[in-house]
Amino acid sequence: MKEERILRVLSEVDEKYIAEADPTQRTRRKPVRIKALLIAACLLLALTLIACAANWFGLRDLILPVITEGSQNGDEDQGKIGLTGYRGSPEWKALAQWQAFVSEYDPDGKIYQDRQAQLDSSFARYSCYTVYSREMADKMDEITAEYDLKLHTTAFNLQERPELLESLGDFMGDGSGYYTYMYEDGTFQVEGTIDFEDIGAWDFLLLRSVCGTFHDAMLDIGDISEYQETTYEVACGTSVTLALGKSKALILADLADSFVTVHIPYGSDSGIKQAHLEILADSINFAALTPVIRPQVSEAAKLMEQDMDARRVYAAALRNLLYSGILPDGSQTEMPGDSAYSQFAVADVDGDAKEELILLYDPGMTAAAVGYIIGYDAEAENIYIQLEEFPAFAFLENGNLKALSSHNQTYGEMWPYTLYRHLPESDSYDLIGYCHAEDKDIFEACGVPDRYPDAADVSGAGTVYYVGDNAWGATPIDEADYMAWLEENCANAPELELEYLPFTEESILTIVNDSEPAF
Amino acid sequence: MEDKRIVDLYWLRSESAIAETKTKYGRYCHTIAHNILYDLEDSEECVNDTYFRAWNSMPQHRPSVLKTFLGKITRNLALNRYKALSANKRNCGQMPLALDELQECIPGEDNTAKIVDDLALAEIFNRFLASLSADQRKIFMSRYWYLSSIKEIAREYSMGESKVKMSLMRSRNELKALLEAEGISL
Repeated sequence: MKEERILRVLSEVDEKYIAEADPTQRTRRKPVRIKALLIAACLLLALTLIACAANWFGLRDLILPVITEGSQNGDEDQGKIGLTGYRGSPEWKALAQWQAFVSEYDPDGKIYQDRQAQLDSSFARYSCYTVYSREMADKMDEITAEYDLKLHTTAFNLQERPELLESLGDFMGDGSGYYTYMYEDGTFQVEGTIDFEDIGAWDFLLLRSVCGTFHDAMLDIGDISEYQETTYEVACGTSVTLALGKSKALILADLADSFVTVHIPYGSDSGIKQAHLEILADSINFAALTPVIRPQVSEAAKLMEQDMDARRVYAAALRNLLYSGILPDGSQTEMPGDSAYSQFAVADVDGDAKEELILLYDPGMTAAAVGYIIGYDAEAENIYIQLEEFPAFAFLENGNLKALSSHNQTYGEMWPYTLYRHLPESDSYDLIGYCHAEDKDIFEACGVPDRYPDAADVSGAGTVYYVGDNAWGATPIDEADYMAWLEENCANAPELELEYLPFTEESILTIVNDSEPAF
Repeated sequence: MEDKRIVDLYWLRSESAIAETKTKYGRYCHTIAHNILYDLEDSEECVNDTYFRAWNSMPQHRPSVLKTFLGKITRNLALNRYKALSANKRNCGQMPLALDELQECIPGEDNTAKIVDDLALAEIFNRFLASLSADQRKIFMSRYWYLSSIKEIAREYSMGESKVKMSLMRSRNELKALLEAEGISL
């Protein structure tokens, strides 16, 4: 087909067009152009405190030990630096320990390959980290407990939430930069561009890691002995370390409550000089980055974030069932792997402004089918079951629920159901009663017209109803009484229309959208 | 790890080349394959085939940009696989929609029009892409190279879906006009 040819030949277009539309890269930034004059740098050079500090709050105090065969202490001239604090800080110690663990863990990637068999909803608390097994989760808990660090809980997309940056003021000078993310504690990353008069525009990346939270930000800097380091007092009065290597240039600022790293991914081999680093350092108001003000999130936004957290946990619970045959109550399915008839939906079905997971598990055998209404406990970061019933729900707009029975063995067309009232205080359901009906014409059609309780059908509707508190009712009531009962129990509200999704990985991906990588 | 070092690993026939590729570009390749195939298993196989192809083409080949080199392999493999899939499976995802949209670019039948080879056609596409504004081009490539959905594109470029559709429609019209002006038959 001709249109297929267009698609196919597009593969051969210039690679620069392919690269610029790369969907795995974020939205193109609005660059910060910081005009700077070299002459200014010359004047400021007088302020430079040249310390040649090869080992004084410099790169060596950031480097993470790499444990190699035959080396207890690791090679300290090569490798990665932590971007969270100098050696001796809890953040550095935790990161060093974590790095040592992950560098030896799962060397052949087999555990990663099998990760879906292990993941359950409890892993959602590590959603800001690369943790894909119970051992990794336990190790992370052990390390963070040892150094009294918290875990990141939420990463905000700063393109969608620019208001979170207001507390930082104009620390980047005359532009806004391209902000990528900010965590709940104020840790964030921004990309900018600086325009040097003599060597043109260069991209840089600024990361602020807030103390008190475990942040696994690292950078491979190669051979540390190649770097020239100096301390420098920037225009705003903050003392920073400038480190210039052949292929990288860094500015490090150890602030009272955070650690800031500015990184140009090019170095002296590309023409970057110490003076350029000073210009860049002076263009940033480091003083505005401390004290850290945690992002203020509106109530509505908090709920939205909570929904995203909930969805991630729901996805984990669904995968638990899909891949491991573990039901939300922790029990094992009798027929693992058979989920062809199952469905699920994520929606606020009880009117508490939070989304629930509605799982209709149906392995193809009515007796084994079960439906769950599942809520998310943000504090425990786990799910809880609000109701377990046969998987046929009619949700009412007022939050109440009719749980339809598995069979209708009555003489009535109305499908028997159990009515539940939603209790907002406990986010659970309270049983109101059992309802079923009998129709006069069905008795007649079955040849047993005498069995229809005419005496109860006072209004002559042709239908009588049975309502029971603790079991199926045995006393017929007139339609008017039934309607009054419905009214009294808020059971005649319109029904919600839910869009159920087939129980597949593709559907699970749609509920978590782009909040986690596609497997 | 830097791309150059990953390519070096391929040239050294080190098996860690694939692991490093997977770590760095696995998600990118998977996104491309999944946008076309809309099936996790097929996409995963396609990405694995990409690593295999990369392994077989290096040494001999030294890609200037590893990412797009891998992306092109994945895309071609996914398109081949899409073609081989059953009608039932082919009816999912963005491919049928994109193909449907691209019909608008096809010039009308003209006996005097010439049929060009793929290389020449790719050059025409390059000229067409160069003629678009940067945003229009990125949207076009997002849709028809990466097979991203309209919704995803709208989100990525912070614009409404209708604006994305409008941009795509204009680009398709411009492509059709260019093909007709060049007297190209597809």
